[in-house]
Amino acid sequence: MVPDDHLQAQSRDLASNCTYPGHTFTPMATPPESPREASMKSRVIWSFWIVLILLGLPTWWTTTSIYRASLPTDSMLKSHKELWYSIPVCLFSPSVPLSELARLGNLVQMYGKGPQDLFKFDVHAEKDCTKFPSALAVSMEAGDGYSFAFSPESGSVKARYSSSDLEGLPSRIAESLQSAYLEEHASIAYLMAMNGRNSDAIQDFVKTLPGDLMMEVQKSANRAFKSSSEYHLTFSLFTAGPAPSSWDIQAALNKHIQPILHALSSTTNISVASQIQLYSSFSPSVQPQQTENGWQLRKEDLTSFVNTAEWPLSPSIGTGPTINFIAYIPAQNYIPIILEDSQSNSWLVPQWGGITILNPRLIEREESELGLSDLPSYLDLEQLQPAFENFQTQLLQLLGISQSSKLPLHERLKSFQRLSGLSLYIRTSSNLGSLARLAQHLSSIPIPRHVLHSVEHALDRLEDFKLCLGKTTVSSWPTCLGSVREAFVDSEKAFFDKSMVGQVYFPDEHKVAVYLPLLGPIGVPLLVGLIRELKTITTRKKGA
Amino acid sequence: MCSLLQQVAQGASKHNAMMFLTFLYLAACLVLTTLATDYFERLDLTPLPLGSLLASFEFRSNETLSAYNSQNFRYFPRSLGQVLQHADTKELHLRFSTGRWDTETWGARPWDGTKEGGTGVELWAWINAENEKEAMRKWITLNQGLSGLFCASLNFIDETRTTKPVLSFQPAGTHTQNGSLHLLHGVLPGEVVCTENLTPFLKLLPCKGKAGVASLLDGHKIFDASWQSMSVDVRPRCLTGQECLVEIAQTIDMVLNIARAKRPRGDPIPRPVQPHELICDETKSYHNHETCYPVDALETPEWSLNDVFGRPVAGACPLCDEEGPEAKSLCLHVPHSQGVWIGAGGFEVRSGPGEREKRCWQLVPGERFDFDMPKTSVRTHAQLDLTDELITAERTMTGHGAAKGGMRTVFTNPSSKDPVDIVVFESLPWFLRPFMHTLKAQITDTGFPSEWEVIKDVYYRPAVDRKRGTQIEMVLSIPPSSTVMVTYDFEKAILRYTEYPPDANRGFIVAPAVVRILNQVDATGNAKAIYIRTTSLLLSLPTPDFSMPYNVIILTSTVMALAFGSIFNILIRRFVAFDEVPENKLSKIVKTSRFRIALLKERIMGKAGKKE
Repeated sequence: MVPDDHLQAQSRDLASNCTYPGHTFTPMATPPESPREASMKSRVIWSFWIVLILLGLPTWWTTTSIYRASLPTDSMLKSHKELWYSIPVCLFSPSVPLSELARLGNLVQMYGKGPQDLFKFDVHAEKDCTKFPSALAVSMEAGDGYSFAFSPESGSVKARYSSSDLEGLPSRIAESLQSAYLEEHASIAYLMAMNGRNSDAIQDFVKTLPGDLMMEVQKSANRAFKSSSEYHLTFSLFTAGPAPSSWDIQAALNKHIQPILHALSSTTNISVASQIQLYSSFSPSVQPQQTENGWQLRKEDLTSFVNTAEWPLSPSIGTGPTINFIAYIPAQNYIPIILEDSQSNSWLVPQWGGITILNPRLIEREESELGLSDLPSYLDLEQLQPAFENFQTQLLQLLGISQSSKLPLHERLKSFQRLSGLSLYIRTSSNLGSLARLAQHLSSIPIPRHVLHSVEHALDRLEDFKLCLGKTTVSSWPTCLGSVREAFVDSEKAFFDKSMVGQVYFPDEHKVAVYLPLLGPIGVPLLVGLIRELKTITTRKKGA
Repeated sequence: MCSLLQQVAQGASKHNAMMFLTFLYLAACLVLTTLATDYFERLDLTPLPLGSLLASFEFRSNETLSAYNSQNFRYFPRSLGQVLQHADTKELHLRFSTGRWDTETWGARPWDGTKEGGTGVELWAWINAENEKEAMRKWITLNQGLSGLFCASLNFIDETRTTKPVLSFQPAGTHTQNGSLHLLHGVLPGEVVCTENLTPFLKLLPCKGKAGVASLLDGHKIFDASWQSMSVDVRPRCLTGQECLVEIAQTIDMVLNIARAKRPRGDPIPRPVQPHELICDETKSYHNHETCYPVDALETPEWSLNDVFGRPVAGACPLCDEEGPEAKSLCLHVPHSQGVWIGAGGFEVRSGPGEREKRCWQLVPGERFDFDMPKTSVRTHAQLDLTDELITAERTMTGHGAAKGGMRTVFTNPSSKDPVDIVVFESLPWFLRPFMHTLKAQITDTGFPSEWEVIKDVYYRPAVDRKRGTQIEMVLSIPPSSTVMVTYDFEKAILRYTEYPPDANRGFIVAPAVVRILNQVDATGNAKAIYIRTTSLLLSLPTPDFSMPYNVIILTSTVMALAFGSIFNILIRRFVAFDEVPENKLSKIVKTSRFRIALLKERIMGKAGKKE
């Protein structure tokens, strides 16, 4: 143990004496630094730091920063919160004075209010309602009892009232209006609830609705295409074999589709194309079952019926979705194919299109004595009729036009206009909101100036549309829809701008790899110098 | 019109005149029937020397202009129609080619070269636009649309690869808006044409690949061919007194090696020929039973459609004509003396006297058809009645090194009496900078000793770096039985780091030159176009080391850090004598540990010493 103790004692000495075997020296006092030297030193350190901060940092900042236009994030995030909705109604009467009618109108508007002003009837009393084509014209006539009836042609309402019951008239009219437009209100409530406005008012309103109505609204919303500024319709004749190879498509379109397109022309742009594809059989996985009346397609076959690998169903060029309508002619040995539990022999594929199976009459071969027959090579208008009647209803369903029988078609189209405007508005504002959140969240993505322009333009157009919503009676819907459509297109353009996603991810470790060889050897001496300098300053202060 | 001509023909008294008029009548009726049907298809099979077979498929369909404009597509494919309408394209020519046409062995090109493109993809179109800028915008849209449709990289045809030829191409259709039509031309010489381009091509056909001669088209066979070319041509056609039509013509031409095509699909590996099956050239002096100079396939093996295409024709496409010359959708160009065994499902019609001998078959819908061609002995292309190319062109690069080079094109006119006028169209990438002052034409070999001016005209549009390529169009006149060499020098530009493709060391492909032969007439006296194309060239550019930027960053940083560190230290450090260094904690720790190590060392050494 002795050597160990010896060692410890020696090492204790070492701290004061600083001797080790073979070599010894005694430290001398460090000579004081001359003031000139000291000031020179601090000046060097400070000037390096000044150059670094005033010249280096700004240069580094400007050369590595990316252009980010300052987006109006607040209004982009807020845009979908301020929403209200009203259905314009115009009261007129040949007999009742205008002031009386106006008072009645105000009362109807008051009674007809939805929860928390979510939706209301914008009731005006006018002498002549033809000036306001977008409003529902209600003509008031005195009669025996109360009645409220739509005329199917003009889409206006004849309301009769008995002069004995003037007290209850406003609430009765409001009730009639509400029950007539219940589906539209339900759709709006659904639309708003789906888009993040799940407020209590909407919940309460939904609870008051009959369950089957809500189911119906939900179903039709799932079936319909998302509202868009443009649609393309493609009518295709797919035949399993070589015939028929032509059809009277122009006449069929003129008869069945053009009237709808004409009525919708002020709401959306719809383009139409048609094609004939021969030797295009359904998917090989579909196996029709033989029955006594021909062949039967089971319901579970319908999902895999469309032969996506071989059928040329590429979407049309341009913005907006393509709605496909397919008339399918089975091969001759499969005629007729009947759908299980279906009268129309057709079905609808939600958000995609409609399919109808046509079983044309076979034509007997002239020279044949064996009773051989062929498929016709040409389908005339009469043979196409069932298919196009199906396409007609399917088109309305796919666009999201209400099927309810309470309102005449004219009113349903108006209601579609309002709904598609509103849903475009909601989609636009959700686009803008997502863009704003994206810009806030990813600080490294560039935001070019043209994106800002698109956003600003979209916001302006949304403002225009809001003005329209505020004055539903007087505003002209085509222009209102035009502005919300523009807003939608701009918001899509801004959100999907490819220059923003170009360099979203520039990993930090790459930056470190590039900067470290430079910053390590330069940064450490600079920092150490600064720390020493600061130390001397503090000691000097303490000394003073 | 037919009946009128018939009356005239009957009225003519002289026999000769009658013959002539009957011919005219037939020709006129032929034109009319061409337009009357909406769909036409044909496969021409021509045996070539050395056991090769040329198969030319042609498909043509029409749509009336009004139906086309209202987007009611019947035989015209909707997908293509919509792309063309979207880009305001009035006439379109699209080519996909692979391989090289062997002029020496195979003779003149099919369709006079009008239906083929240079290796890779070639596209030219007439676009209706108000100004050049708009035309370019629509052209880009068109390329993007076609790119998606044909699964090809056509979207890479940008402004640098686009040219506007002046002399080389003429519209084939009838156009009304002549003033506002812009011709644009683009090539992708590096594109590899394969099955994914054939599938969309087949989908454009009304009968798909399910019936008619198109049922023979199989990617495995087509792209195994020695040479193949696919084309799509869309043009408007107006004849007086009839409604205007939009016509789409699609062709596929290929040269199959019969022996290669006959290999079974399950066992495609070629086996060496057994010694006793070798065919030797017995004229060689060294020929005996042990040494053999093998001769290329002396005889064409027997073949059938099933052998070379892997399947027989699946019956006629029912959309074709049922009668008339257009209905014969399968033709074999062999002499009548040649026996061919045909199966059921086709009616044979042989060509009349005066024509090149061929036999055609009218197919029946739904019935398979095949024939057996027996083994035939080898024939030169003169025996096969093949025509020769009017001119041959061969383009190569000269020079060495990474900075400069030269281009040399050799034209040979084999004709002994007729000079040939040609337009040579070259579109060069911008990084190949030609010096036009070095452009020189030289008659290197001639059997026609007289002064001759070769270069008649030059249209030259210089390149702009990174904006557009060079376009050279030269009108040349090649004297009879002569060889002309046209040369010019060029300089290779250095590209930016990011402009190199992933396989930069492979080099850049320069598009083939297009040669249009001028002043040619067909049998009826109408002007006709003949095109030939040279092969593409591989240009190697100076290629940098691609890890260079990182090396540069690291090296500069190190040098800067070294320099900065030492200068900064000299500036701020105090220099004192060794024993004047002030004590601090760190130096104490260092000293203590050094002392401990020394002690430990001493103890160990001491112990070792004691033992001794």
